[in-house]
Amino acid sequence: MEENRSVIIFGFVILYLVLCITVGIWALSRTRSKEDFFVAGRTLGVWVTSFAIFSSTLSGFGFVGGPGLVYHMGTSSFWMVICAPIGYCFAVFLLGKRLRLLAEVRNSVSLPDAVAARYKSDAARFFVALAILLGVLAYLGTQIMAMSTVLVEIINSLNWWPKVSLEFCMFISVAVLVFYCMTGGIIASVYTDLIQGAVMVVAAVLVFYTCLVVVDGGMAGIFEIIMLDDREAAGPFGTQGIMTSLSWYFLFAVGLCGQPHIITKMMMTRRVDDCQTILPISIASYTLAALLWFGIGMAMRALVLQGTHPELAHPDNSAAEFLQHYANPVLAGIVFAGLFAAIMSTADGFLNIGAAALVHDMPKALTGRPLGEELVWARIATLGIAVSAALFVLYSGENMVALLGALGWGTFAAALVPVVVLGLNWRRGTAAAAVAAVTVSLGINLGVELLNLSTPFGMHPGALALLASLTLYIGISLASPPPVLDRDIDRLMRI
Amino acid sequence: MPEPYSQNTELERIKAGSRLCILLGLLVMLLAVGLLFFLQDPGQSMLHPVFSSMRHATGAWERLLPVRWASLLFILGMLGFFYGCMAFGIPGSLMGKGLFWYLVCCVLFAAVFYWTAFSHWSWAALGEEEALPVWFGMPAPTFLMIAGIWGLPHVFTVFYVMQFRKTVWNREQQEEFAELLSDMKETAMSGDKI
Repeated sequence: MEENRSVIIFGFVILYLVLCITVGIWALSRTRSKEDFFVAGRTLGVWVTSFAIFSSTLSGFGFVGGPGLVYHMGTSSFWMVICAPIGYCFAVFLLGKRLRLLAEVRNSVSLPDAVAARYKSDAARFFVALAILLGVLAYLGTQIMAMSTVLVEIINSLNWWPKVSLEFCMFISVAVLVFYCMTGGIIASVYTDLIQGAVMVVAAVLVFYTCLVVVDGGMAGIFEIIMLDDREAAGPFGTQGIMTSLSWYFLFAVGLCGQPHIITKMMMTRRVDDCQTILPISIASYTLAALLWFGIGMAMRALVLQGTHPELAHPDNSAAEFLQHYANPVLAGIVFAGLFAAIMSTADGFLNIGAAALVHDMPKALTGRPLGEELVWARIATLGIAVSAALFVLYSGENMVALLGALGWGTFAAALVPVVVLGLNWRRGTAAAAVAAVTVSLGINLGVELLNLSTPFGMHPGALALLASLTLYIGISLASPPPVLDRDIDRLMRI
Repeated sequence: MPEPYSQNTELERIKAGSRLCILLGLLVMLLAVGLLFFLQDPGQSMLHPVFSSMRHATGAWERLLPVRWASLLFILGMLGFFYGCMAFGIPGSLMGKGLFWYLVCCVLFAAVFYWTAFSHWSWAALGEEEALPVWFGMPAPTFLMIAGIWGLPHVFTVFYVMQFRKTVWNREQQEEFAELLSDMKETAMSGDKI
């Protein structure tokens, strides 16, 4: 079995990709309207929604970028994961009921739809759609980069196949993604999430066990090796220090309820009552799957430090190399396949909300009415967004999957948390405050990135932008006259 | 203005308290971040001397020293913000007896956060040669972080599930929503806006 390891892994990946494409074709037959394409007709059950929420959170960012970040900087990046219980609570406590009710009352198919209904403002709709589009480019770029990184590793391990470049794999990734999303819309995404989510939970536990077995002494052995080299890398705040870790904790906990690909799933459930079950299932699944993030990253760092494994050419290769060399080939094949499915379904979610922003929300904000033939335009927009994201990731200069993901996460969080989370729970929030919060957050996030500015003590710029946008939203709302809401929205927000 | 159901006034009172907590939390965090701009950063990490794909921390105590008070302030503001936000979703005053245990968990979560920070503080102050406290194979503060800061907030999920029918989506709220939908249907037929 060991000599055929790379063939077995490659076989599983191909098999899984074929399965995903089949799901895409099946979903095509179920996608008949824009409601089906964007919000799955609001018919999702508890398990599908729960797994779609947790899978969208981890995806390529968590499964490729996460272990890479732990390998690169020790325990610092644990803070992006351990905030999940609080983050999920925020999302479901504050938005689970509200978004579902609003979607039903106003027949909203996207987050900017909900924002426009809440604020009675096309400007708020436009800026939220713009923030979503910009965030999608960074985050979708993360998924494409993750998929290409793993694909290049797998293909180049095959002796009978010529060596390929990262750019070639990026082209293949974009082509598969676009086909998958254009055919199936969000229905393909959420059903793939269900399959791959279940696979990843089981596989993560098995891989974590492998991590403990590979290094002598298990978890204690791993920590001992890392501490001998650098005590702080095994400490609670890792090599990046306390302020970086805390800023990640804040950004990722609060920011989870500002991630449009996660919270729009709450508009797709059949009933409000489902929130009661969705929260524990999502958190439990995430907690188990996150073991992969910890386990592989720490084990690879220890293996390299003790000289068992050669140094990695790039931190993002942690997961791929660990699975290629240390996991049972069948398990590795399943994890790689699940990884591709996770990336594809999350990328599908991004393409979906990006397309909605471009063909549904922006035209509505600018001209007062949606485009004709929305479904056709949505599919064309999907292609444009995927190509733009691939170009963005090629030329952005940010070459770590997780850091690129953090940029996307920060952009979404800082722009959307005040407007959506506070806005849907506080009737006093005004449209002017919403517009100001989104523009300032985009200004800070993009300004720091484009001008290459550094923040004190390594604080994440997204956390600073989130702090600023939240404060600004509350401040401007309190300083303005109370808004007059539509009666149905006013009544809904009192429930 | 309609007064849809009897819990309304109570909810408004809770939400006013939550907003204050959120705002104070934000201001405290901003204060902490503002302080950072006036502090000298000795550098938190550098390239690993042997493996260039890894980062290596600079001196534990040296890098913690300038920022230790600001970090404690940041945690305080962050927890205030968290608790204020959570009270929007599951209002404590509607929880009945569950409120006591909910508050106990909030206090415990704050305690474990500060315990981790102070334990790292004393850990960083130890010299390189001194023995480090190790719990379950990990440095004690790392164990606290994983078991406490990751583990403890799961109780908030338990509270949400237990309180769902009582505070989040109770009979009165369901009736109110059904009434809203039926009013919308009626007025849509008459051509008015609700």
